Amino acid sequence: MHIKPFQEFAKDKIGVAGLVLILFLFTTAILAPVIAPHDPWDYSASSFQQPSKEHLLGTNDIGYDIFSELLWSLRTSILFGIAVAAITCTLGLVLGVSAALIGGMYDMLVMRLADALLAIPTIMILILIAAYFKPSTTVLIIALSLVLWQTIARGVRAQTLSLKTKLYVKAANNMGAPTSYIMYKHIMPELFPLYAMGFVTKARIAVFMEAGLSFLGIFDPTTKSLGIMMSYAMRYLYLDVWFNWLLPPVFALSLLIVSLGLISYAIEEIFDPRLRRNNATPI
Amino acid sequence: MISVKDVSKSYKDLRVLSDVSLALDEGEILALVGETGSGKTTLAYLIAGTIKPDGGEILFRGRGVSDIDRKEFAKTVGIVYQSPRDSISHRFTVFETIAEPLHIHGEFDDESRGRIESALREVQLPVDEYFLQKYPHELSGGELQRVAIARALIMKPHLLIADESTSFLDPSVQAKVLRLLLDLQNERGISMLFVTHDIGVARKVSDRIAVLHGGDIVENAPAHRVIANPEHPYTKQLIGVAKGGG
Repeated sequence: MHIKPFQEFAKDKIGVAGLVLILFLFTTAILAPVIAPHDPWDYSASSFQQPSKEHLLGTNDIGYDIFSELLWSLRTSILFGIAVAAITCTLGLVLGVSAALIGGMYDMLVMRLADALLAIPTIMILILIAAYFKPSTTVLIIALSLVLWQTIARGVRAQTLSLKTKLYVKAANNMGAPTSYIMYKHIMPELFPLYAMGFVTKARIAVFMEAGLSFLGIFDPTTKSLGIMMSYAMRYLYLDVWFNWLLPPVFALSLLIVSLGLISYAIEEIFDPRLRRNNATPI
Repeated sequence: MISVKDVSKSYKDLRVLSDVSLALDEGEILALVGETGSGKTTLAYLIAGTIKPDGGEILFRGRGVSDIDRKEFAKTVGIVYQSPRDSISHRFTVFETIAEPLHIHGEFDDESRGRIESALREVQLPVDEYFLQKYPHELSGGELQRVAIARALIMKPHLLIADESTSFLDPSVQAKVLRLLLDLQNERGISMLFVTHDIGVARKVSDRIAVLHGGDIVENAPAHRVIANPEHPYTKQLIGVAKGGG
């Protein structure tokens, strides 16, 4: 059945809600250098100030403005999520499609590598990488992307193998179409649902992983991060700073993950007719 | 025009065709008749040059098909498949479907719309914008098969292969599509390879009938002679089934 994904998405209230939320967070993150009232890497007042007009969320243990830190941390999370999702999905797409088209030993090697990565806990690999290299944002983006591509590659490979047997693909081949045409016109558009779904899912995982890793201290300490904010705030909970220091990054992170979750739910519903509410048969 | 000489083809251990020889003249309609699994579609695809034989050779106007550039040869052969719902992408509009061969062969230009409209008129379909922008799920089986025929003919092929092209259609639509194929073949004077399991349909449309059984051609003669005086028991059986005699 032919699906017009953008029109369908526009009709999906959950998806639109997620998109509005993510656009709000995205705009805030982009505008962080403009709207942040203070330099988040510099003292702006004395330590542990309560929220005020000057410092909307107060200041932390070393006198940094928490609101400015929050905006810059959100920026890091979104950048991390987008970068990891883009690299992961591109890697998964290239490896999955090539494995399906080339086949043979190459296919076997790629799939065994994917199986191996599925079996090893991601967090352990990241801790080892972080221990060996300096855990900068770039290193962690690359490391996480290298261990998250396997599910995309497996899905893409299975879908490509199935598409190869479709009569309209064979028909294009019989018309003399080169592989590049078949890829561009027939295979890639059919993989779009998988790619869109994978992108949102991996972005969500990456955002969560970044916060988790930085909370554990496996992140560049000079980078502003929601996880680092939470980690520091936890140390001073006895000072009753939870509502202005711990809660904002937790809330921002939750909002980010929930908005990506809503979008992912909407995409899944659009491309899987069984999940469409208006198709449900009344009992 | 097409000459098949001692062609054989196997899929792994399964021998599908054994030393098959066949000829198709210019402007002739040859029906290739056989049951499912008899190798008729394999033979049609071998003739179309989309698969390679294990042995023997296929000549197109005296040149080996394997020696001709595949893309160039694809232009000379149009194929209409059994199920239009499967052979046309669900994401393509009528216009995009018929324009596909033009895109593949780099011939899509300002005049393409005229060519597409002309092809649609030939298959007796509307040419208005509303129809051109319809998707396969908005068309009936008969309309869709006509779109598939227009796509097969847009490059003005010398050979049209109809691979069970009417077997998925309702009997009334089947008759109309058959009539259309015959009219187009007659107007253009192109050769046609009509692949079918129904010898009754083969008799109606073809000049000559070749019967495939177990990977061999067991009968190859003018259609009227095959129907009136079948030589092979399998042909007799097929005729019996077509007449409803079992």
